[in-house]
Amino acid sequence: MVELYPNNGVTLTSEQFSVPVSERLPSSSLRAWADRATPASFVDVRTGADRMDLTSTGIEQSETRLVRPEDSHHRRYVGRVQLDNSRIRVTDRFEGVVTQVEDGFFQASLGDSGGDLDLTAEFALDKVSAPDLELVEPGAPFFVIVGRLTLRGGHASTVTSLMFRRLGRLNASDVDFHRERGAKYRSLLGFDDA
Amino acid sequence: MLRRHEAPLVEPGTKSLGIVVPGNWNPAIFSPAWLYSQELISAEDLEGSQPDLIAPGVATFHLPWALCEVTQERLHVACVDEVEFLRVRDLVLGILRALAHTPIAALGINISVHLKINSEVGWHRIGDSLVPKTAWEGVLKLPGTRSVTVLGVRPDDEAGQIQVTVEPSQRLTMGVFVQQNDHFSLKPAASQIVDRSDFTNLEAVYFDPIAPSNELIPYALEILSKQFDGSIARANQVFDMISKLATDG
Repeated sequence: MVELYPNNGVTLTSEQFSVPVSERLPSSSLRAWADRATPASFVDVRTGADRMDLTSTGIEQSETRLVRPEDSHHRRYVGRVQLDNSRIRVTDRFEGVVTQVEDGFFQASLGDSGGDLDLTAEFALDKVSAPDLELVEPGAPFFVIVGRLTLRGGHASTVTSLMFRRLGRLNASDVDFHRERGAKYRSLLGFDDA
Repeated sequence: MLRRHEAPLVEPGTKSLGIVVPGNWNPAIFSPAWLYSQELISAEDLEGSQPDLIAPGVATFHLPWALCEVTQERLHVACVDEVEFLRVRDLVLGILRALAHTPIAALGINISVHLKINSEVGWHRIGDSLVPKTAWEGVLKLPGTRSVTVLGVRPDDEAGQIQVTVEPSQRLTMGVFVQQNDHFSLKPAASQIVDRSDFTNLEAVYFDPIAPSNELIPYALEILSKQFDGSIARANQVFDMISKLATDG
């Protein structure tokens, strides 16, 4: 949380303060920016990290503390609250792994997060968003996100979205880790003996 | 006779998620291009990204679906679309895996929502339920709830705490802002508090800082993988409870 206030106790408005700072950065960084742009004696900056009632990971997002709501990135990021009349509420989620890719569709095994579901499904490739198409290959993990889309006036429908996971590049230690784990399972399952 | 669609008493706004990892970070390496090089975002994400501030000690940029803020003290990745929660979670997992030598100190999963209350009575009911005004009568004129933070013991075996903050929304007229801070200290709890008398030593119990260490990264990865759904479920419970206060008081 950031509160900007001059030493005379009068709260600064966004028009009075024009330093492009973030409400969620530590006070040391904010002070450095404030010092560059305004007389150091003019502004005090306080962040959530300074407050005992917030943890080191707690973040305050209340807009009263926004320094520059008109043109800061926060305006685009958190400045507008959209209600459910135009948004999707997630109602369910499944985890899948691609098992086979065919012409125009792919097969996958699906499960839920609790491990209570195990089924095979087919998905048309045109249901995959363009940036994710390159990821569709056997072994690729993805989520099936089911949501409730409520439109203005109360009309609603169920929508489904496929989201392929980007887990990053494997480094050498990752490869070693998975090799070791594979060898362990191989041994446990008796494949080595055969 | 046809009835006009009536707005419900409580309309939830979009939920937002912020994952925070305090530690000793090197902001200089963070950029959309670096995330792309690590195969954590797509080419389209890279093209649609927008730097807000890249300066010594600070890197802040937008992806089409998330905000990344990195300072020397912490990493913060956030989004304001519930559909993107898992993508943000995976991005943080990927960053932690790619920077496995970074010392980290804790992990926070923050989920918040602005609730639009379509009744002034209901709006006041929420504040009055959380902070009854009887004690304030005669001391303050027209006392009103400005902010309430309630701390809870973790329901699992992890060290840390859960804090819920409720305050009037600054973005919605007659709105309520609710945020859950799910704080993990990245170590197993020696023992969980079972008695309220332990709160008398609150600072020692809850604000026990842990020294940043890269050895905590595997722990953070496991927490983020296994506890993420539980954190969202807890937040939804909180949001539902607060919503019901508008009706039930």
